[in-house]
Amino acid sequence: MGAIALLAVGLLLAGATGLYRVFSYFAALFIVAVLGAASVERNDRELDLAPYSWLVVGLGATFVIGLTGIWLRWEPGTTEYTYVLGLPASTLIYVVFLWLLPILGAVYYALVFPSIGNERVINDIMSDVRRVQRTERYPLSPSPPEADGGEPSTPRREAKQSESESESDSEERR
Amino acid sequence: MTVPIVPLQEIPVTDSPYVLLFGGVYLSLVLGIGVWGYLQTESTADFLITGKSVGTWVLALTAFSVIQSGFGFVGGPELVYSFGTTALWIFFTAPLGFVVAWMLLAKRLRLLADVRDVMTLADGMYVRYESAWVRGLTAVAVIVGVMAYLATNLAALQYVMRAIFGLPVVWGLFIGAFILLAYSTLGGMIAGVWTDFVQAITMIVGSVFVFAFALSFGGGMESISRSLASADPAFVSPFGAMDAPAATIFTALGWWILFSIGTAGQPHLITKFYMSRNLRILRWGAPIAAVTYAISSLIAFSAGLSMRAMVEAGQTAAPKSASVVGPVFVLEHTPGVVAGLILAALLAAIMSTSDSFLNIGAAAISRDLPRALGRPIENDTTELRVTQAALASITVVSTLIVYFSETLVGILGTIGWGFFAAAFFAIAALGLNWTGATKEGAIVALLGGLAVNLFYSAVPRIAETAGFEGVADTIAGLYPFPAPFPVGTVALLVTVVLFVVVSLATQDGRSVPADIAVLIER
Repeated sequence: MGAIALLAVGLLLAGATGLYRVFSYFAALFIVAVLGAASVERNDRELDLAPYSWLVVGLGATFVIGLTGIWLRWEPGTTEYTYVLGLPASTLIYVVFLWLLPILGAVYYALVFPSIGNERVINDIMSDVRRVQRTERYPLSPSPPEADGGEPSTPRREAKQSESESESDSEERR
Repeated sequence: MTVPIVPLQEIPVTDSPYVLLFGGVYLSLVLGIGVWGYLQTESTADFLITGKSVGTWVLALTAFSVIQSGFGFVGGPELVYSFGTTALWIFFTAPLGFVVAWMLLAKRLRLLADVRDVMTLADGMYVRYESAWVRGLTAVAVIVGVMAYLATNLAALQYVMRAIFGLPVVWGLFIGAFILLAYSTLGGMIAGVWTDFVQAITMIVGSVFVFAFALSFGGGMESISRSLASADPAFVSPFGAMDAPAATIFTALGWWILFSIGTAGQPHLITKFYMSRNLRILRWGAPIAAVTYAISSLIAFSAGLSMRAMVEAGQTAAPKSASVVGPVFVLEHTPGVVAGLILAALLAAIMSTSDSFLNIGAAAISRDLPRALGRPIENDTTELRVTQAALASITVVSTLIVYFSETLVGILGTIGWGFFAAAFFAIAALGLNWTGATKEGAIVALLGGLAVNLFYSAVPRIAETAGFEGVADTIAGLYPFPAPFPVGTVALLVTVVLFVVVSLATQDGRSVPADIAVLIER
């Protein structure tokens, strides 16, 4: 998280000093660093971003290639363009690398989703959670804690949980 | 995203039977869905989070719908028409925002709704930080943001109602607000997500048609690009022509950060994760929402550029106001069926975003604030009724604001996407992925985000309105960035720094609740 905060400071400084090329790369790094935060507590090693490692690397590379392509082919005051697929080449680079390719990140997320959200993972999480909740009472926790946990909730179960919430809230106030 | 308000009165009133037909069908449909939702709603959980009953497509498309508000359909073409590609850094960035929101929050929030009985963002932040202050400040920020968004959306709604049904503006406001109130109060979020679903389908179909017609109207993409480049080469450059070159680049890149990262701070989106039937539902939500948004953003891209190119080429007259470029294009340059579909979609876009805001705003009043003050409503049925009453009150107050004070609407219009992004991104998206976050960090980040946004956005507007132009100028002079650089981005970055630094400084001896730690570490 320290790196994310440093990048945020870097962005504010680059913005205040007018360094727009530096700002653009800091922005790219900031976005991928934030995405990497999704894995920062999941794994033992801080730089192990599994299962999102390739997504973070891929998006980072896409952004850097896109921005570099733009800066190589365009600068303020450019008046002549080479047109590719109906757009100036530099604008097409933006469209491809900063709009279209990042959408594939959503597909990547869906493909690796089973490794963070399959039945076994969720059952493990919920059974650990219920074990903890049997030893300590927390505000807004379902009452009574369920031993199996993790099964899909139903409206009926929710209604039951809501009824029990007044009890939780009484504790909360205490 | 806020909707530009007053200039929408320039939308021409149409006599096309298709426009009337689609508008009428849409309003009948949402009222029908509202009644159906009422029959399905038995508890506060049903009302606020659909009783966790939503499937993959409905979740994904409701996520898309609440982000693609009327701003995308009206403000999008307006910005592209006025400044060229600068605005694409908003609309082409939003799909990436869904990736960010899903990666950081989808699993965490959905599991949180099973680990604890949370129904609102403030509930979630309360159980994460174990602080009534965090809960209360979250609720206050939600209420402020909701009132702002609702007032601007209702202000736009009145002109869209007039354009479709030919009503006097004031009747458009009251009838539109009444229909919104009726189906939102009756059916809660169950009605909300299904009307969002209808809206999404309408918008996607309409966007594809508009894209095809717009490219054809402009003579193809290269013809459009060359025509615009001959008028101003910056117009079709990667960053557009919003301001001086450096300021334009900063603005575009600021929007890139704000509309990607900031998506994970939008409460009306991220609370949708509570609503999925189970965790598997979340898997394909991000690609569906990202792709559908990408398709819908073609409206802004194609209608804005095509209209501007034809105006520059002298092939068509300039619209009276840039803010009506989108509606004018569909009314004058597409068949009546497409125009009807798009105007119904615009109506739907405004209403579907508004119903989500109403829902979270009502919950903040009936549930979050009383609990933060230690006075929860004990009975579930009573809480449900109070939530419905709060929803009705918010609608009435917002309607009266629009009716009585255009000035106040203008001030509220300065609060929008950036306000929520700054208030909630750090405490929710980072806080649910980092066990080192503390309640002190969350409180300072919340207050810092509110302060930066209000100081640089709302205060100058209030000062100008009150006749203190000098104050507004002084504040503008204190802004160390290029003038058009979004305040929301600055506030977002400042809150990230405050959140991390204060959390690091107050970590000693602190621990995350053990059940929440299990959730964060897997």
